[in-house]
Amino acid sequence: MSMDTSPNPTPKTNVRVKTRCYYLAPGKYRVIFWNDDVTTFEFVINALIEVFNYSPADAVLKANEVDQLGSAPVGTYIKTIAETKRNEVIRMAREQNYPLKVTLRALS
Amino acid sequence: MPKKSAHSKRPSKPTPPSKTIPCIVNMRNDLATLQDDALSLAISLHHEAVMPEHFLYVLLRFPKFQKVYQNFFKEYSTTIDKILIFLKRELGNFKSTFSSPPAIILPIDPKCERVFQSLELWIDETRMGYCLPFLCLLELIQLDNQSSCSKMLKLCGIDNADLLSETSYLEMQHLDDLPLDYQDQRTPEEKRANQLQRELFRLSENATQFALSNDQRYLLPEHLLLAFLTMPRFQPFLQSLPPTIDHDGLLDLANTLRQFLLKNIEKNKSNQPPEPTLAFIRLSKKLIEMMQPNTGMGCFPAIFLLALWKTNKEIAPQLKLLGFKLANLEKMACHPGSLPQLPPPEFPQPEPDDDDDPWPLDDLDDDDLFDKSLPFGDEDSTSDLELYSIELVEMAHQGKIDPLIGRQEELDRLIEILHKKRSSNALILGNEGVGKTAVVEGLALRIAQKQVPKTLQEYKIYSLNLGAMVAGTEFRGVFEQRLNNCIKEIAKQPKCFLFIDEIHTLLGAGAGGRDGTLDAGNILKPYLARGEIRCIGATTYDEYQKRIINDRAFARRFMRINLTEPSREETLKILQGLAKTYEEFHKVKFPPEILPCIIELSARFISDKFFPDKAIEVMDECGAHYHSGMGKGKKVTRKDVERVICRIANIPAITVQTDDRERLRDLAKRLQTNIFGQDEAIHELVRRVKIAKAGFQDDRRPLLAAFLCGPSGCGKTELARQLAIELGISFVKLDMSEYSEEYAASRLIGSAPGYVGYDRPGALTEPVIQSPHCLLLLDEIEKAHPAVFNLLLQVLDEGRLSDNKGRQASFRNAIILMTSNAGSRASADAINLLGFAKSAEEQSQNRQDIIQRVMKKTFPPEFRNRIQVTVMMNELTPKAMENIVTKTLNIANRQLAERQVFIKLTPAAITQIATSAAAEHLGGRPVERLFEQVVKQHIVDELLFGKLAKGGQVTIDFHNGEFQYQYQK
Repeated sequence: MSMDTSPNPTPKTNVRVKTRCYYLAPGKYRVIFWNDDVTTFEFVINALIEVFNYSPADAVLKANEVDQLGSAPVGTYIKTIAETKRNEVIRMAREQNYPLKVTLRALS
Repeated sequence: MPKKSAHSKRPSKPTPPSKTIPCIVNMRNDLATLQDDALSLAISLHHEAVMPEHFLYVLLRFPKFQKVYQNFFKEYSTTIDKILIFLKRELGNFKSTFSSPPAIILPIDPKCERVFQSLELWIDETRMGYCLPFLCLLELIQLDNQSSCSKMLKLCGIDNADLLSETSYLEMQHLDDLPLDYQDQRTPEEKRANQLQRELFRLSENATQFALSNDQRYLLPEHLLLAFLTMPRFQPFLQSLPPTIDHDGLLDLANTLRQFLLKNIEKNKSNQPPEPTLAFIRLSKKLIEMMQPNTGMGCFPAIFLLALWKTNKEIAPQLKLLGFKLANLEKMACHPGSLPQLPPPEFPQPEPDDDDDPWPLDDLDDDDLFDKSLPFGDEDSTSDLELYSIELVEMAHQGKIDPLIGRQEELDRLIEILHKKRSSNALILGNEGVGKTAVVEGLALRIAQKQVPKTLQEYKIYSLNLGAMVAGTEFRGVFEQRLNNCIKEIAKQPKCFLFIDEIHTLLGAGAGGRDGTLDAGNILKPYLARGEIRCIGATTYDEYQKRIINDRAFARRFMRINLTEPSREETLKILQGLAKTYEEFHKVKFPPEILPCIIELSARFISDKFFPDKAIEVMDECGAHYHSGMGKGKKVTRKDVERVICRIANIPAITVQTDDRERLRDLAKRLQTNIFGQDEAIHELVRRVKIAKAGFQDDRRPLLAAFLCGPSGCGKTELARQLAIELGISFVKLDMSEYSEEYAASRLIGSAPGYVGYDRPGALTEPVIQSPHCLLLLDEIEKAHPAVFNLLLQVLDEGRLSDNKGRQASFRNAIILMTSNAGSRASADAINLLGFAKSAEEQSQNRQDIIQRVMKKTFPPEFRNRIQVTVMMNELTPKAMENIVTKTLNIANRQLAERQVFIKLTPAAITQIATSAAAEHLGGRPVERLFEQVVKQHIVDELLFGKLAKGGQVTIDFHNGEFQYQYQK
């Protein structure tokens, strides 16, 4: 670690550790699917398989979980990938006019 | 995002067909022109294949592209010429081959082929504007480093990104074609923006490469940052940063980024390229926005970092940590040209020994390489005369010419003609194979052996190879040029002759589709007339009549020497003289008595060739038989000669062999085993055949011309067929009822020229020409048209018939049998009418008379006169019918032999079939029908599925008015 030679050394220690460690421990985000009355099971299962790399059996289970519990987490990724996957699913849903709700939730 | 990526294809939109879009058409045409130029270049440099370097050379010299390239290369501190110099040296390093005659087409190197193919694909994709110059360079630079093309371009500092952006810029101009004075209308700001875009392209290419090679599904902005930190291209910038920046931290960051990317991105499971994340897209958008011409930004690395900072919340703190400050970055971004100015490229210097490279590529003016009128390079390299002619005296010195025997007269006349003052040209005429070329070769031999008058000593004879001269002449005028060169060289040499074999080919050679006013013959004429060259020509009578006689101006410059076929004695002398040479070559001995035998047999049996050619050929083949090891021994025997002649003349075993005589002896007996009830007829015929074969044969007439008369189905055709089989000659059957119209005569000999079917051979002449020893059966001759009769008249008398092409079919060795039903009906009726039980001889005499009378009525007298014998055939007696039944049975059994089924007919059954067949009074044919009815139909089911399926025997008996079938295993 080099010396911080700026004229006003701000106490960056906490921030430094945090930001320095971003790439060592990037923040994880959860992607959550929400149930609704329009989106079909089939679509949800397909999305889980294509975008989230679920196996078909797991996808069925997860879709049922969403249906029963109203919402369920489908995966945990770093922010940029999580938002990209969410974007992808929403795009697919909107193409077929499903109002599927997908949210991200920061972890810790 | 960069506008075009090397890996992506343009999304297809519905567009008009590519063939009609002007820019595509122009690009295609220009590409074709460039390919042709590259080929010409490769040929003129005598290289073995068309390489990408040839293509690059012609590309750089293409007039259309000059301006564009000049502007382009200026940016890299170099000019087209400097590149060309280096390229020329590279081209000089290629292997050259000097093939003779020079090639007209060269193979294309696979690398070059790939370049061409991708160019064609790109052209089809483009559709927006003309962009060929950079497209070509783009393809060439993507070749591997083995190719000096890509090496050279890269040395200049050019890379994919540059060419790609130039191509798209040019494309966006929507030009249909590149004008010669094309001006690049970009402002400096635009150019700067262009440069920035290229940098971005390079960066993203690197980033994508990383993602691809690690099989990652997503593209993150961190990819770009990693690329930025690691690419050598951006190192100068990073090094030049002030020490406030944490340089070690940069390295650390790079490593951390790498780990991060490898850990957090899932693998790509589909075949799609890595997908950009939203963050990546945001970054790209920001970058493009910042790189527009009007923003005034110039330093790509700074722009990049700035964009990163502004769009990415995670990275910004990292940058701050490393010491970057937003305000500083903004200031830096506005400084243009922080990338170092490219130095002029240094092409590798040639090694010292290249200076005495014999191939003067540097001194070659470019115009020479592209001079279309001389596509094959220098005139002085190899003398045309040497290329296209053979020097006969030289060959004689080398011993490659056989000695000439006889022909002294003709040779003297030839020498005389060559001494004339004017028109000292000789034309040797003769049939093929009489020795025209041999005479000239003999002259060459004499010159070589110094056995010529003093005036002819030390002369040379050049035999012109016209084929070689015509071959490979791509452009008009090349043939004439070659011929002219040859003739000029000959004219320059005082002591030489020009020998043109098959001189008729000259007239019309090289005219190439024009009306022939300037063909080779017309080129020769002035030289011939002035006596500047002395020419000896050789051709056949036929060709002379066809071609040369029409060109009187040509013909009059030649003095004709007629070469006739040598007589048998002369041929004998020739053979005796040549025997030694052939003996040495084949390592056999020709006993002296065999040579006259060769001559005699070849004279008799080979009718379409001439002496001495046919005799020498026979001698040669006999020797070859032993030479090739197929014959044991050292001496050539008469049997060998006979066999060779059989093969050449396509005839069966030669007559007057002991086997044949034996055959004739029991010919009658053997015929009687196959033809039943016609003993008289058989004996009559056989007698005539024996007479003919014994040697009483007319030199002109056919071997035998006989008429076969008899009721229908009595065996006339069968007899003819069997006779042919027994004699071992081919059987030709012509059904005259097909020739009952007047035009049918032309079917027999072939149509006249200009008529349909001129190419089809004559039905009568062709088989006889193919095999002169044949048995010709003309069935139902009374049905033929009188015009056909007239044709036959000549055949029967002279034994010759000319076909439409003028060939002679010789019937001298043919047996002609004609069958007719004329009179059979009348005689049958007469018998029934008269009713008296006359004696057998009286009956047959009666029949004879009746038939004679009817024949007189049907056939013209001159025809009847030429028939040697009229053979009467009887109605079939019941006994004969029974024999026929037996014969049919034998045939059926032979057919079933392999299925191991045997049919047996009891005598009763045979008699029954015979009598029922005879009752129809239709001769032997009903037997076949009845046999099928009685035998085949009944047993076929058993044969296929039943008791006889696996072999067995069936006995058929006739009992109590019906047939009974017994099956046994």
